[in-house]
Amino acid sequence: MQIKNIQKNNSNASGVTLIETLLYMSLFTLLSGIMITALITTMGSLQEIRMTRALLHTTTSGFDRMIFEVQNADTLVLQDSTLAVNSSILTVSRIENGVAQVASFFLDTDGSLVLEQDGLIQGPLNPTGVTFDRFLVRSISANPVSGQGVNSNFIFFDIGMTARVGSRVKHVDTLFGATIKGSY
Amino acid sequence: MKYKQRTILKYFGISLIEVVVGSAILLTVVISLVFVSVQALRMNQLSLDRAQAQLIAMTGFELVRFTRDTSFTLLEGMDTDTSYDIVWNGTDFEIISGASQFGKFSRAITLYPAYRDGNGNIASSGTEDNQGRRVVSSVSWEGGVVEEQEGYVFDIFRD
Repeated sequence: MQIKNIQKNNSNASGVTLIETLLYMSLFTLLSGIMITALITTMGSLQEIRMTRALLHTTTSGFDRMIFEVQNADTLVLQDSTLAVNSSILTVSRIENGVAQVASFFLDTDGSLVLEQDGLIQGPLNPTGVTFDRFLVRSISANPVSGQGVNSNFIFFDIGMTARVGSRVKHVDTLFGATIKGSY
Repeated sequence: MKYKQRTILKYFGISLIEVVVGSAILLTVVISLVFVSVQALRMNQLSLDRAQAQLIAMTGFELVRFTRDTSFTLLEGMDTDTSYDIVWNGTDFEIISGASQFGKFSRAITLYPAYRDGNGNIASSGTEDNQGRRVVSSVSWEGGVVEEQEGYVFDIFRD
């Protein structure tokens, strides 16, 4: 009698009904779908963040360095510059403590923006994963009104850069410029 | 003996309520993770936009200096407290009325009178200095975000 009772209890407590199985399976499918979508979204966001940070780093560090060199330059070294074409070369010179310091900006074969200072390559101004597909530099000379102005050079940068992480790509175009210090 | 077996049977497996509660906790964690990553992406994009806007605003200010280098009279011809921009027309820079567009960014350059105090120093009010202008180069974009570059230019090259 006691054994019969235990068996009854067992049959009641173990296993699941068809409805429960269906409910569990529905929940599992729903959860799996949400988890996979969330994972894809998060991974995509992380890749996008890495690309954005690489472009931001190039903008804040690389371009700031170019502006610094232009604003502090005394002269544009025309014979060592190639201007108004894609993959331009910009060479500027400034006198520091009586010594001329020459800085050149150009694209290397990998499409990275490089700074060469006094004949030494200072390394790319962009992190790995960022390449430049357009580096166009123009020098625009002022036409000063006699007795009212001064000969001046405005250096104008037209830049297109791309960040790549995995299969994702992010492109940024930017236009900026600065006046050479010698003209102030 | 009977009591022990009953206890074991009572705690065997998990109920539907436990599954639902567990799923809800898991979902909350996953949704929070997605929310945080999307917010981080937005903040990064805003930082990049700000950096680009600063470059464009700085360029506007530099163009005012460059215009001054040509002749300060060009700046004297611009009304104060009015939006202008200085743009490249393919052969030269020209002063245009109103803001101009650079992709999603809009730049406006506004000139204001420059003032000097009793000691001759630049001040926010006082005697107007006709040989100077306060320059505000502002860049705005989506959502009304604005980056500004502000400074002064003076007629230092006139004979």
